[in-house]
Amino acid sequence: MYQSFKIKNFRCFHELTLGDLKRVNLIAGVNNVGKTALLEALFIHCGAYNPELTLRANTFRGIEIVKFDLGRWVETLWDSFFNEFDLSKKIELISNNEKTGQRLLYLKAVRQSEELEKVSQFISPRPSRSEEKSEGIPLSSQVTRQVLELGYEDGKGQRGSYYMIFDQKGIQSQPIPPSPPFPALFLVARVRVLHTEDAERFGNLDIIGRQDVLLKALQFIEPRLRRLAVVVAGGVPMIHGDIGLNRMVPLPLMGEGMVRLASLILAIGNAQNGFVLVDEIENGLHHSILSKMWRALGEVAEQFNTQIFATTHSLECILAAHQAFSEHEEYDFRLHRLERTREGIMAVNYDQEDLAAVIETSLEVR
Amino acid sequence: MGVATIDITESHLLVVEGKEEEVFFGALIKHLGLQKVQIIPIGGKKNLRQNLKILAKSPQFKNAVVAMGIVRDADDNPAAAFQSVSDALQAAGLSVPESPSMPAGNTPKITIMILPEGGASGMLEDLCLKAVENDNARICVEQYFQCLQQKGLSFPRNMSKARVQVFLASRSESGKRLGEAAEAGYWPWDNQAFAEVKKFIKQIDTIES
Repeated sequence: MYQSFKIKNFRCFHELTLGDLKRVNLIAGVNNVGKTALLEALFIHCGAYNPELTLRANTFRGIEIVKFDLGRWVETLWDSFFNEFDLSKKIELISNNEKTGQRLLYLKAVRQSEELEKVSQFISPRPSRSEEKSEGIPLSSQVTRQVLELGYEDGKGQRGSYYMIFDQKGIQSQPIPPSPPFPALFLVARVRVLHTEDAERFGNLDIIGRQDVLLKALQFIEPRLRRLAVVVAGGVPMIHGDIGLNRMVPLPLMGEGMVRLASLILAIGNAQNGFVLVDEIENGLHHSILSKMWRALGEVAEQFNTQIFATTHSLECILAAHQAFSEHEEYDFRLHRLERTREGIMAVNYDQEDLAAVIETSLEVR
Repeated sequence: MGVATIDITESHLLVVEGKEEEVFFGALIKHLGLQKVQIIPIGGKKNLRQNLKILAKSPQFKNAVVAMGIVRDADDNPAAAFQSVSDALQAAGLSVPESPSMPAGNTPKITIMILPEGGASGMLEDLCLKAVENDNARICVEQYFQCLQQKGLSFPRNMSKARVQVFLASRSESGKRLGEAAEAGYWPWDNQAFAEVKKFIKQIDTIES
């Protein structure tokens, strides 16, 4: 679990420190202040060794096309990750935990010819996987190469560099990055989790005998629910539930709230000892069940030792989280509001006492 | 569960205790014709420290607020009241004035006023009562309490509030609270009793960024 997270030169952040992190962290703030960018930074940092995660973060935003002009790249895949599109500065993402220490990850655009020469030793002569299915990635007719270096260094003294190379052959990462040290799942605001993906994650929980966590969580909303199972209909696996009718009912027929909560619980359960990042967590949930949702998420996150970072625009969502965690044994929750000031974007943290005062004074927090 | 609704919309803030003070000072600011002073009811004295901290954390506070006045009742001890506001300001990371009505710091510049004013004990109600001390109804107000005493009946715990209520019962539309009475024009703003508080609010209004 991260206790603090620092970002330098990433997207809209010149420098941002997010401190006092808890198991569940809600990120608030006005539009275009960097809430999603913060999740992206966490996502890339959690991936540890894999520079291609930057591309996935762009995909979350619907950016899948690279612009080019007469064989000269006018914009690389990763330009937009650098603060003010300034590729001369390194991006740094630094987490801290008092037990595991500091973990630094940096991203650097490799542009000097001697550095590019050094990288060329890694370039595979084979067509890359991306090239084989390079739909949407136009290639230059000239020999132009863009390289992004990802370096990391952790508290145990481990360090290394990986390169994402983008040229006329497509995209490749060299050396091949190992698996990340812990799982991180990103639930994007604009795309609903596929029912098949939820079914697969439910299956993963079933394998380790923990499918009960989903049943228990969904019973907060639907007390009639007795049993859950994955049913394959028309070749498509989907979670079904038994609510006392004479047949199992597909989960989506029980309402958007059930599907959303299921996706959240399944993500947490599938990210044991890792992270779940959720953009606009309140989507699809009626305010009346938000407290129950937080209670369920808090319990499951604790059981699976998963840390949650979620963005929200909803005051009801914030206050529901405060209420749910106030009733919990430990108030393992923080609200962090991002705010643009004269000195740049900064984070303002709210603890339990602060949020109680917010309720008393009716002062805005978002 | 309450839903927060107060946004900082102005660059000049007047922080008051509760709803009653919000309405009262709103009427006074309207009377003075000031446009850019926003009133923030911060809650009771008990939670001043925590609530002031939250105000300082509010969206736009750092960016927008250039002046902030805080009004508090002296109660039995004006020095202790001033100290309690000073402590709360310090805990919120804001500038702390050396004495009442003396501005301190920059962005925001902070000023404190302890009511009724002039180092006296008491509260906002005492200021209002002072403003109407020559009103003929005040004799009747005192006679009412004398009557209670003569009958051996118990007195209200807060005599200032009780006097205000009895006085307001003498107006054409009775039953108004202190703030509503201000809106109805029952408090004579031009009376000398309100001179210091008007000066205090105008001073906040004139501070430039």
